[in-house]
Amino acid sequence: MRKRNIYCVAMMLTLLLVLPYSVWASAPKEQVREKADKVLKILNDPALKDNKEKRRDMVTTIVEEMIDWQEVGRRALAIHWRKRTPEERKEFIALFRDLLKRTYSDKLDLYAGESIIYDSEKIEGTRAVVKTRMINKKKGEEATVEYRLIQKGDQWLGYDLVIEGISAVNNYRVQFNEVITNSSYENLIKKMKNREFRIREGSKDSKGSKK
Amino acid sequence: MKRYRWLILFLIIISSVSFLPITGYTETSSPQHESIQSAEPPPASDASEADDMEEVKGKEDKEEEEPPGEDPTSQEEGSVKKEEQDKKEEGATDEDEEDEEYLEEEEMETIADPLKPFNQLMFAFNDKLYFYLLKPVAQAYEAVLPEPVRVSVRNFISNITTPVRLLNCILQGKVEKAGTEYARFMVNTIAGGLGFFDVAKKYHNLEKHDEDFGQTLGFYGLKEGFYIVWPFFGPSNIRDTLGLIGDFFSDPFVYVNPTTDLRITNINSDIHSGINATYRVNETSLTLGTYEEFKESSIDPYVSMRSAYFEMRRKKIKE
Repeated sequence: MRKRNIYCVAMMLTLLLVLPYSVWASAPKEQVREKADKVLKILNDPALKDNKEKRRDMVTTIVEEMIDWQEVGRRALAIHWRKRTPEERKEFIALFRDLLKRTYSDKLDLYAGESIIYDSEKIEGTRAVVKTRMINKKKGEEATVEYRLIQKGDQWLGYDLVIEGISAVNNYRVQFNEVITNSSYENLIKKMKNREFRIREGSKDSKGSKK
Repeated sequence: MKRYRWLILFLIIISSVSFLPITGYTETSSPQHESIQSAEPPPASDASEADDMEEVKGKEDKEEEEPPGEDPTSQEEGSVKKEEQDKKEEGATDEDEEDEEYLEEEEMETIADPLKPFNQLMFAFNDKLYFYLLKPVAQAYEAVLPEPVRVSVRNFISNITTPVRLLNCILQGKVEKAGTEYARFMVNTIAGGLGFFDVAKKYHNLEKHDEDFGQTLGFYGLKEGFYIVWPFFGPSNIRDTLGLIGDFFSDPFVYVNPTTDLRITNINSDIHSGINATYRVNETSLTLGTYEEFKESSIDPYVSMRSAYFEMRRKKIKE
């Protein structure tokens, strides 16, 4: 009799330990933290410090799978999204994804031992905002970084990054809108393709030429 | 079995409570940060990354211990909101929903730019200024002075210009922020070696509040007006241009005058502009590569900068 009771309690305890854990896994803040911790671990790895290419690849694979590219593309094109055919949308997302990947992975080289503080999370329906701060101890600098997430199944996927109040997707939306209204959507695609070519062919060159 | 009944009941209650903060509508902002940070021993100046990580983790642990104070009510709110949303989704088709969202977003982006040709010219000028003057000078400066020294220069100038921030905190009625700015000035001037070290932030967790006259004007409802790019000063708008003039007069460096005659007609802006130039070079040396990355990442740098500037200022005024 006694043994069974103890067994009961043990069951409860294990349930207690396991259940909240599985629920935590679906909280947006925890998901962001989990990924960010992985990224910081890679960036702080002294063995990878000299191998910047490898470091970039490792980080981009982690970051890429936590982004809802469809949502990013839809928001960035905004009113112009509806006029696009499914093939055009696909092409646009692929180009935009490449552009973001290149530019944000370049930013990794500027990493200088920043740490992250997680401030708050706010969930509204299927949307969530996770507010964090990037702290650079040595320079005494601080920047607010806000992750905007959308729930897809049991996962939270990012669709926007707001740094110091500047939304990345908003910023691109305005730029895309400007190009499209001043010329055409085709011109935008051409520009994006050219840019991709330029970055790919001469990343060193483009930086060098600017002095 | 009877013996453990209460224990089991207790465990069930505890486990159900632990679910509360995660379900529904929750906002777990943590005002405890300040107390947490000050409770911790101040880290050594050469704190390694490992230390940083540990500190962050420690904070996280403490955050999770937050009692779920108002959660039952907020959860109700959440479920109500969810229901509303469900109804909306049922009622409206996907397309309609998309349209609504777009309209909302479109409204956000209304930036008047009647001076576009002039602005673009000035943007190009500032761009050249950066690559051909500011950057090379900052690079040479960076090579001579180690980073801690440059951070100290930044701290010193920022400490002397406290009146600009303090005045605007007061003008906006932000008493707490004004108090922080005042305390920062006293602590950093006395204990921080005339402001060369930001001990107020490091040991007392007093954060700087970037308030300027442009924000004060915005606080009282003055519209931002159209976009202007000034040579040397960079992106601005009508309101912030007025703000720049206001900031000029509240900057103590303007009144540093060898003749000690403090009449307004006697303002000697040589020292002020010298300090400004130093500050610019110093800042550039601490943020080298940022502008290049910005240019790389944009399709149209001019439009990107314009949008970012307005978004940043709007956020600062809201704070």
